[in-house]
Amino acid sequence: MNTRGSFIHDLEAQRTCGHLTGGMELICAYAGARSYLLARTDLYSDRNHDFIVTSNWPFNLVRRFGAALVDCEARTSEVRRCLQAFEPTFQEIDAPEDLASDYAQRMCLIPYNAGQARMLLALLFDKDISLSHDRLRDVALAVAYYTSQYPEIVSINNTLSDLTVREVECLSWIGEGKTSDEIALIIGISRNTVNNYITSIMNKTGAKTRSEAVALAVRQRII
Amino acid sequence: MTKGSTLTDFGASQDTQQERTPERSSGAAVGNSASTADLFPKLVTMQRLCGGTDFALLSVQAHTLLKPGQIECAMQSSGSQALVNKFILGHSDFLLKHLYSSPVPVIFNPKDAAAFAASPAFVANTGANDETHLAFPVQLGTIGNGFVLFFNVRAVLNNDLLIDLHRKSLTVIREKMRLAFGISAGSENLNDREIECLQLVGNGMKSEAIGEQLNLSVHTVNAYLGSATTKLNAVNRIQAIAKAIRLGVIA
Repeated sequence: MNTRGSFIHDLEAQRTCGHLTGGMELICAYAGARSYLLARTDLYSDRNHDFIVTSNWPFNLVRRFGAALVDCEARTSEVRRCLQAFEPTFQEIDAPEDLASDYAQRMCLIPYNAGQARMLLALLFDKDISLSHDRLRDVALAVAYYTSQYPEIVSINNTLSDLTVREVECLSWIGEGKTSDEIALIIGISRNTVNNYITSIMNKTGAKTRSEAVALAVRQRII
Repeated sequence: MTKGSTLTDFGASQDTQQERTPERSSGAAVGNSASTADLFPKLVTMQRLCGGTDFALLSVQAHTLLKPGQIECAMQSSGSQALVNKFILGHSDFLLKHLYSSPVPVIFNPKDAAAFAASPAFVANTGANDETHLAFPVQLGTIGNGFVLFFNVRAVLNNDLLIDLHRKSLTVIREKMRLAFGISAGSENLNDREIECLQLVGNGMKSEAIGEQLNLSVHTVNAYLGSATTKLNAVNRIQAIAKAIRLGVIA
């Protein structure tokens, strides 16, 4: 059993090796967990599954629960999500037939924020293991420290970052429910210019409708 | 800030707190005493742990591309106004940038910088003879963001102490947020169909396509979207989408 100080020290040493999995295994061992799943919860999209960053869960479990976990996290209300950040919670696994019999029936979920990214660490345990909540709280911070050093994990999605200030301004008014005519009045430009900005936003983001463009921007906390 | 009858529990402790530190009532802490009363002793304990002379709790307002965020002092140790104001004035840009780019603690001017080579903490130097200060960033999400600061820290800093103080910083800011907002329930009265339609609109589908997918007529889909818009107190369906995502009703 290693102490908290040396755990943080070892984790920092792992960073220089450049392999994400080494540190994740240290974190897993310190928590007393058997396997981990690390996912981004703010890249919601029903089209792809690249929100799972790294995992050594059994593959059938990733396929079965991965998307559901992220989806569930994205649907939590904002106030509750803020109250739960960095706080370990437990969830029963409701499909025991998929789980090997030597796994505990509960998983530990630790949502956390690192830079602009919203992340979720989900841990699976051996059956009949005694858990330390104290260590899980340490893990919440340690995993945030560790993963924030990998820019490819916590970088924000680039689809919206090449919008101009004017375009973001228009988009934020659309999000407030204003029409093109109203926006033209508010920022003092012609209606056609507003529509041009909006067309350009939809070209840049690949959104098919105004609603989708606004949804993208809200999810990425641009507006 | 609303203070209902739920906060009467803190009445007693609030009075004793004000007797002990009457001078604190001037400055930024005014108007927040119900939560301050409860959190003040915690911050004092933390300050003792790291051997600092003063502390401050900074809160940061929401940050978007258009509004760069703003630092305000929410609580501070008595008599530290000048120190805290000077620190915020000098390091505001750095603190804001750090909060939204990294979760690691910041050590200003450590006595022995080499000792932190194997620490996740970020080392910042402001001047050769400046005192050591600690800053713990807390970013809970859209709300509940800020820093817990300790000034003129004397204790020997190690990873164990840093993570202990950072965990306590998280608790303090979370408690402060809980007191400020109460346990507010969102507008959860949308029905399943309304949520389903809103979700699909947010994914970029048009009413016609949604109707086809859900085996409904276009008019029914539009009716669901209309009632969802009313329930969310939005003016049109685009604002309804924005509100629903912020409330966590849809993803």
